[in-house]
Amino acid sequence: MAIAEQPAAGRVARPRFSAGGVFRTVRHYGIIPGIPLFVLVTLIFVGAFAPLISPHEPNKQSLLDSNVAPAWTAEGTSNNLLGTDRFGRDQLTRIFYGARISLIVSFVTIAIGGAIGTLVGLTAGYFGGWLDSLLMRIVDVFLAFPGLLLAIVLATVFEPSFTIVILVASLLIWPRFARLVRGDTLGIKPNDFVTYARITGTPTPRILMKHIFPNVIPTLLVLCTWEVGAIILLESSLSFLGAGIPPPNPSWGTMVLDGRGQLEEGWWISLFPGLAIMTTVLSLNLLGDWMRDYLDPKLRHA
Amino acid sequence: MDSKPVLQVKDLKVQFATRHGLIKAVDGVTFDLHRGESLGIVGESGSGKSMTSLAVMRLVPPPNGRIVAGEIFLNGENLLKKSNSEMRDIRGGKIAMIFQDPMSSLNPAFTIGNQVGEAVALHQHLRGNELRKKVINALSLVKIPAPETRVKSFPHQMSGGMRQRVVGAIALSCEPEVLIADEPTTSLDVTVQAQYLRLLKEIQEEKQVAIILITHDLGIVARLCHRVAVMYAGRIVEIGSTEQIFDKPSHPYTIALLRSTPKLEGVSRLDSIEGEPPDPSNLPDGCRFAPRCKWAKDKCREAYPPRVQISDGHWADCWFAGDLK
Amino acid sequence: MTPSNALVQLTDVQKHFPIHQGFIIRKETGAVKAVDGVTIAIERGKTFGLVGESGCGKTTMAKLILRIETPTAGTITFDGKDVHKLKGSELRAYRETVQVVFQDPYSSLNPRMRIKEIIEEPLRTDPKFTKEQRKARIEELLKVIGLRPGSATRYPHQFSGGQRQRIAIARALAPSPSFIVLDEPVSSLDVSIRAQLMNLLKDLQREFHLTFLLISHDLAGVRYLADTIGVMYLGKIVESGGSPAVYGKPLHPYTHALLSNAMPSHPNAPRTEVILTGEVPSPINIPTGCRFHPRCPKVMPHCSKIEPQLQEAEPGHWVACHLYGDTNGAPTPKETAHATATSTAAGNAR
Repeated sequence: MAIAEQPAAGRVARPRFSAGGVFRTVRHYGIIPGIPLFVLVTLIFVGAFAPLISPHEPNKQSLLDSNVAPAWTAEGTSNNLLGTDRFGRDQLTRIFYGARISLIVSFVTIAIGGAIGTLVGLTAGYFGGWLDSLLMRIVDVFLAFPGLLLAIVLATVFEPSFTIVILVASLLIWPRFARLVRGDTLGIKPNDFVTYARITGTPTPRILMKHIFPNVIPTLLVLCTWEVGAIILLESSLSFLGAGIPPPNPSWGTMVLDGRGQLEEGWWISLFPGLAIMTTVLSLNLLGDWMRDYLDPKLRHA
Repeated sequence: MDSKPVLQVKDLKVQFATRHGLIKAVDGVTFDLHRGESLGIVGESGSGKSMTSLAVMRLVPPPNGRIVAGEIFLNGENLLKKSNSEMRDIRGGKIAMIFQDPMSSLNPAFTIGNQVGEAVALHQHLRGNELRKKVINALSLVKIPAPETRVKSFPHQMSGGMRQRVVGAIALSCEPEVLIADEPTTSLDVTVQAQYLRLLKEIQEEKQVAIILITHDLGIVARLCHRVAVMYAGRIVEIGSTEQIFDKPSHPYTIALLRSTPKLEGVSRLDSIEGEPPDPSNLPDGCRFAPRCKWAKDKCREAYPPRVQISDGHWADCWFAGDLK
Repeated sequence: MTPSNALVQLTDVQKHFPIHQGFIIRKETGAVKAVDGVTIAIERGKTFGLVGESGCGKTTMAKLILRIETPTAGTITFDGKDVHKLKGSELRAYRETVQVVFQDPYSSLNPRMRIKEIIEEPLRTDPKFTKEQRKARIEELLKVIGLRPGSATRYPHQFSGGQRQRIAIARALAPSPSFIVLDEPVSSLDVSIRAQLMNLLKDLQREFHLTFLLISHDLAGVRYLADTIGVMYLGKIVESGGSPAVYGKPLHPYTHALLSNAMPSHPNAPRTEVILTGEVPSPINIPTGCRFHPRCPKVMPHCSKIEPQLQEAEPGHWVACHLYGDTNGAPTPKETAHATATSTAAGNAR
């Protein structure tokens, strides 16, 4: 018998996703994943180490220093690089801490909403039949939910809080996960490796976790990236409407709200948190798009 | 068969630039095709047989693929010198193609009358009743029953064999001089495949169209083709009339292929070809089949063998062609 | 049809998939009769080749044997035990004894698992194996199928189609089965690789005393591997017997057509070509009487009325056709009918 062991002709080894370092990635794959990835790494770094790198306390008020302009303007001081708000709080520090809040809200929401959605999607797609119909109708109902309104109602009935933001965001994102994962599951289920697992009597939970879930991961990665952007935007919107993260916590949305009344005398108060929101969400969307294109052709063959 | 070939391909080279290096998909392919003749190009996946046919249509997928050398003459005119718009007229006009999968060659949203008509309208500038007549003619040429009513059918209302006939009708509707059929029957069942091959043969005899049949199945070639070109790793390693190839295969790959194919009459043990085809981005020096060839000598691994004439019109690329047992 | 040493015995097996229609009140409006009364016996240590065109029910038969589907009627026994009544440890034993190799080695191996995990999969729940024994078994199997031991830690995409199919075979061999269903095992592979795999299967059969059910549309390949042939048409076996007999002297007009349509091994091979008209009808509307009669070149008036039963036309050679025997008031046997008849002579086929 021959040892048939040459590399497969023309088949390209699938590069696996590893923390290969930002620079190597940029050199290898070009600028599009590079810049967004850089932004996100920065964001995570800033969020994680906010207390260590911030020049000031985020909530320390100092009325003497209120409405200080950014450092490069004529009225600015080097003490407050991006200026201060009307309570004299340092904008840069608050943006750093705001990143932290955005990250916490995103991760908790993705963990809750993503897990529920994935589970529902796997179940619906794998079992099919009436269970699938039932679960997908529930998904449809939740997709029709006016999330912002719900949050405002909840925030009026109760106090605005982290819990409400996370609850509302989770309610909004789980059906999107469910739908996408179901679609992928439907595509993976007819594969013979799933049939084989059934033939050998593999218990259903193991089939789901060992054979189907790992093949959904690429899609999930893409969706998570997009959804983190959506969640940050939602959290900011809620905070801007006063139904989100309660003050004095430095959410980016709250910061934009704070500056709203004084756009003329203190343009920087709204501008910089606004830019932070935009850059972050844009980076996440670009990265998600890139990941989709990058992972997709390989996924086809699974 | 007249002496001047309809199609001449000379030293054609197609390459792909990939992250993993340069892939020489077609590496110096030369053949002629005469009117009324059918040439079978036989090879495995990756041998370059499909890429050769795409190159003839100038459809090598951009941006990575490129025809880097060679000449393709259709009735003496070099296709590689044609402009893109001239090529568009030739494709589907003088050279037509039938692909493997009838389901993806047909658009599910249009009736078959529409799809056959589109080709005719584009190349022959016909309209109205004339167009309709032409479409029905094309459908009856491929023996689709009741073509007058069938023009209103959608692809999903037809069986696989009928769909592949529609694809054939589209290809033949503009009376091409060269028909390229890329594994036209692979997706069909045995009995339907036989019907289709019979049909192709009849149409060819009637219309005297020149056919290039691309396949991995030597049996189909034996049934349909006058001549055979055997491709391996981007080159034609042996070419000759079908009888010559089957009676006196002279390249070790052809010999091995014939010996490793099971027969209806039964054989006690197949002589299998060991190993796998070479990586196209890393072709061996010398003869590309040498690593799998049981007759290979040092010479084979050092230099690519010359083209040896076995008999009239029968050539093989092998240092030992004609002396192999 | 019941040799004494049958390992797998199917008796009058049916599988009908009901078709429901209606939006709120769903009514059963018909059925896809994928398998419609099949009786076959697969002998121990032999290869049974099941031949037929797409939609004839051959893959559903495999699924019934592999317990992915439950038969609508009839019984399937393995070693004398009813396969669909197995429970507990007997069921677990059955799942190890009966294995499968699928057609498409891209779909049959989980792209996210390493080769060792894939081969280990059928052994995972087997208490007979310790972790070390499983590891040793994987190495042994890789050697048996001709892959390097280092392959164990790689992923499927790093292998070619032929190598993947070898891995699928290794997985099937892992629990030391006695019966393997081979569903078109080589038809997705390149021509030069097919012979390697077919020889490998032959060697494995001899070495491990395996029984094979080979499902295929490639008549020449089945001829090479199978000892007994069953020809299936629209859910029924129309002819079965030893492979030299069926190939040498096909009795049923359908078998005859299939063989004459198979690709010749030489351009000048003498043969009569029977070109059937039309295609296989839908298994929802099976023709009355003999299900082959609308396409049969030798159709007789009563063929559309009376369904012929499988009968032993010659010792060990069974056929369901009114041309042979007179079980249903059909004419007397015409043994040489297939040689004369309406077929088109196409000796030099170009």
